Amino acid sequence: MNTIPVLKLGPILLVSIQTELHDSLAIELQDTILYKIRQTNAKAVLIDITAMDIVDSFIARILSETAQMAGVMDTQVVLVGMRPAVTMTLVDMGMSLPGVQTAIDMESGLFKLGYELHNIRHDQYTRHEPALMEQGNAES
Amino acid sequence: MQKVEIRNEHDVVLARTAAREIATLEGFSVMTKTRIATAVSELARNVFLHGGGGFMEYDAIRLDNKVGVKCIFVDYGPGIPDIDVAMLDGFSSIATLGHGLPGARRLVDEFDIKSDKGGGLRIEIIKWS
Repeated sequence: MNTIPVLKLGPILLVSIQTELHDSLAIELQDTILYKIRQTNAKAVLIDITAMDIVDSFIARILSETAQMAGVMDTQVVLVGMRPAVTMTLVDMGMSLPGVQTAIDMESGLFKLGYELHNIRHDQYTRHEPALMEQGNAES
Repeated sequence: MQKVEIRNEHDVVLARTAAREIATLEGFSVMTKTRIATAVSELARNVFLHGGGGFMEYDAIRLDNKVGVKCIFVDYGPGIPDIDVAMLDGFSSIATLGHGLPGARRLVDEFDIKSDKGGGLRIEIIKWS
């Protein structure tokens, strides 16, 4: 069974779909992403589809739903690396991806998020626990 | 004609891979390959979701100077009572978005759909390179 890794990078989750996405794998990925958002308190998810040579209406719907669900959890989703042929095919079919932000590649996606992450205060996302140290300093 | 049985979602992947491969062999462009593979993905899913299983037959065809790929989808399901309604955007008999059939039709050059009163559905598509 193939699984798609969801990697944590600071406040961001990275997902790169490198395998043939059949329907139940797409649904499984949606579950995994939402679970990981809850578990890691992620602020954003980058989904890389550079390797996908086909995105049909079902996969498009799952990606769009995932973005909307993540949005409800106050987490942004950016879809990166969509191939030109895939883009043209989706538009031909009359599909759009409501609720999904996109970027041309992983780097632009990170930049897009980084720009907005400037606005996140440190106490909203704390990896280390500096409170004890600060308390110690205050006493000395 | 070559044949792919379609009984589950894994067969949907097999069907679209087969379509992509034959289109590659016939020298289709990336754009055209993507369109035919996506149309096949939609129609193969329709076979197992709505039709409860069936098969796809496919082959390369030649007409005058044109080269194309022809795919025929057959299922043994209840068929479609009103094809005109089923081909409308957004119409779905189950919980999908209803982009499948109308979407697939826009991606190919020829699209022929027949439903028997007794059940079963046959869809034939052609994509020229």
